[in-house]
Amino acid sequence: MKNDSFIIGGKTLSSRLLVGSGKYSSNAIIPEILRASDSEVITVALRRIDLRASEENILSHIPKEAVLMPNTSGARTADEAVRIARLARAAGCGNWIKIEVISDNRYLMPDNQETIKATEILAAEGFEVFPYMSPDLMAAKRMVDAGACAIMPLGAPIGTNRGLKTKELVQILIEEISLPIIVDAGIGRPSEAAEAMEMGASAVLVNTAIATANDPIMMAYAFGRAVEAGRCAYLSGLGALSEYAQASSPLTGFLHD
Amino acid sequence: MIQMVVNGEKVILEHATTLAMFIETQGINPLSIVMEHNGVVVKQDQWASIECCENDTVEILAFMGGGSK
Repeated sequence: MKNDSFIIGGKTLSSRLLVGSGKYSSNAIIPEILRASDSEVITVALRRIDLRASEENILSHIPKEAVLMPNTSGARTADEAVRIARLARAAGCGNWIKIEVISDNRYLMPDNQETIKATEILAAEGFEVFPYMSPDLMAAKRMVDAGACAIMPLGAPIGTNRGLKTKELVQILIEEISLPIIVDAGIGRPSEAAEAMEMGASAVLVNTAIATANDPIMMAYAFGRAVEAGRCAYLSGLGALSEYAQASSPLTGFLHD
Repeated sequence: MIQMVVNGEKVILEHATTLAMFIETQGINPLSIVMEHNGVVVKQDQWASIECCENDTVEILAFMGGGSK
């Protein structure tokens, strides 16, 4: 869309859909997912390699035009997140980092407090910091002050496909926080991605809903269209809600008395 | 004989090795990994100049699909 540039972390993107790289049946599908969805940003995790087995390198499946957003998954504290971020940057694929600090294994709820700490340290080291967080306005404000370049509130717990359970809290962030809001986690359907965009989110990140669909490539396409439609709807200005019917043609001149 | 810990496991080296040589003998593609040596991130251009010493801790990581799950 012209005049709707999405500038984030020092880059200009033409798609407001970010995708994750997990749960695919094979990493070879990743370029198809990016192509079908038009997404330009993909998140990856950092893990110890298995010295006994030669594992394939996921980077070989990610087109070089794609923007890599490494995450700090595995970190349970700010210090662990900082350590992972520094290692990720050493790969030479850019300075974006998505902070994930999680010590709750059932719901994978992010630790806002540790995330704020990690944001401050990493922003000072020149990273473009994208904190994944539980939508709390004060925590978001602290992340802004700490130097984040966007805020990534969850819609529902990771992998649950439950949709925008945190809708009203996310709405508050969209209204009150000056940075881009990227709804991340829990989006289970293209309609939910559209819903987040209609609310005024700057972008959404989707992984499980695409990767675990029967046809991930078609689902990636659907999400791409949904994010565009939702953004268009937001820019067009949605009509007001009404309690009673509002007829679209005059209630006179009927072909009857 | 040098013993170090690599990715949390004990590894015995027959003779003096640099990080670069260690990676090569393990058959690891240097372009796909990042490394930490004794808690410090070491970039690829430093690997050939770092000697592996007794009780060194080395972490060798690579990007993989996914995130927290």
